[in-house]
Amino acid sequence: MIFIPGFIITLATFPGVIVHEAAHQLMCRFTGTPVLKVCYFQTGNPAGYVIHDEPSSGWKHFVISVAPFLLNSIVGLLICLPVALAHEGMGIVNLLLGWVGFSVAMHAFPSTGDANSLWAAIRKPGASWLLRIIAFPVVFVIHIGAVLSVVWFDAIYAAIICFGAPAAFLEMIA
Amino acid sequence: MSLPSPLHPSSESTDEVAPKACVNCGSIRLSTQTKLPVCEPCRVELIKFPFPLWVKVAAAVIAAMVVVSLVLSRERIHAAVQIAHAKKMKREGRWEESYQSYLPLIKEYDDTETLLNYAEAAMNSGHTLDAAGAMRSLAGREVTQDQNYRANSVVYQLQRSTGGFLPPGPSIPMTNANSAFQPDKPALQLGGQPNPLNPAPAGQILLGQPLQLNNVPIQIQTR
Repeated sequence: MIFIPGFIITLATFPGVIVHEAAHQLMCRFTGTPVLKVCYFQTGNPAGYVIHDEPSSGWKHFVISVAPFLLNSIVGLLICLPVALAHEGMGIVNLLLGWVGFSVAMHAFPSTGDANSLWAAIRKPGASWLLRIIAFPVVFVIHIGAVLSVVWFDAIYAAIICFGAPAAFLEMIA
Repeated sequence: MSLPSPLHPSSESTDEVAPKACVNCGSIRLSTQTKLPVCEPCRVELIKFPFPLWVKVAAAVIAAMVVVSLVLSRERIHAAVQIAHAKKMKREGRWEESYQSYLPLIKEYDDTETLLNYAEAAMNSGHTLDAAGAMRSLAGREVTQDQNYRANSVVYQLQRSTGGFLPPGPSIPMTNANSAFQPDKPALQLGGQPNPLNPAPAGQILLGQPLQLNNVPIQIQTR
C-alpha cells in the first residue's frame, strides 16, 4: 500500500476541495441557510469547511450535506469525458482536463463531518421517517467510504466516475 | 465539510447570558427565524454569504472547462463508439463486421493499436491486401510485447496465405510522417537482444527481410 501524506493529496487535488465547499455554500444559499464562515481550501485537516446555521428542516440539511457528492461527481465526469473518449495520445489539454476532472471527482464523497451533522439532523424528534429512511444509508455509506479511503477509495471512486462510467456506456451502446 | 454553527445556545451554556443584540450590527431586534444572535437584515446577509472573487473566477474556469469538455466530447464520441463497436466485434470473432467498423477509422486514426486491430480484422476476414497495407504502415513503430506478438501472428498468417510473397496492398494514408514505410528500417520495433538470425533486435518485424516468429525465421516480401 502506498502511503502519501494527506496534505500532499489535498494539494494535488485542490480544485476538488474548492468545488466541494462551494457546493455546500451554494446549497446553503438555495435553502436559505445563513453561512457564518467558509474555508475553501487549507492544507490542514479538514481541507475545507463551511460553518452554517442549523437548516430549518432535515431535508435542507440532507441537501446541503450531499450536494458536493452530486455536483463533484457530475462536474468530474463531464470534465473527464473527452479524456475517457480520447483514442490516442495525452496532449496537454487532455492532461489538464484529466487532472481537474479527476480531482473534482475525488472529492465528491462527503466527509465524516458531513455524515455526523446529517446523522444528528435525522435523529431529531421532528425529522420525517422518509428522510430517515433515505439519509440513514447515506450516512452509512459515507462512513464506509471514510474507512475505505485508507485504501484509496476516493481515488477508485473518481476513476470509476471519470473513466469506468464512460467505458461502460460505450460498451453498452457499441 | 459542512459544520453546524457553534453559536447555537446549548444546554451547557444556559448559565451564560444570551446576547440581546445582533452580534453583527448591534441592533436590539433579533431575528425570530434563527437561533443565531443576529437581526433579520443580518440573517439575510448571511444567507447571501458572498463568494470571494477568486472563487467566482475559479467557478468560471471550471464552467469553461466543462464547456470545452462537452465540445471535445461531441467531436470524439462518434469515433469512440465506432472503435468500441469494432473491438466488440473483434472480441466476438465477427471479423468482417470488425473490419468494416475499422475501415473508416484508420483514415483518421493511425495509431499502432488501431492499425494492428485493423490488420488482424482484415486478415481474419479475408482482406489480405488491406492487412498487408496495414502492416506496411506499421513500419518503424515501437510496440509492446503483446503488440509484437500479434503483429507477428498477422505476418505469419500473411506469409501462409500468400506463400511467402505479398502483393502490394493498398497503403493507408498516414497523418504521421514518422509512420511511413521505411524499407531499410524495421517495420515494428521492440527493445530486446539482437538475434543472430535477424539483423534487427529480437521482436522486430522486417518487411522484405527475414522475420522472426518464435525463433523461426519467416519471410515477407513486397514487390
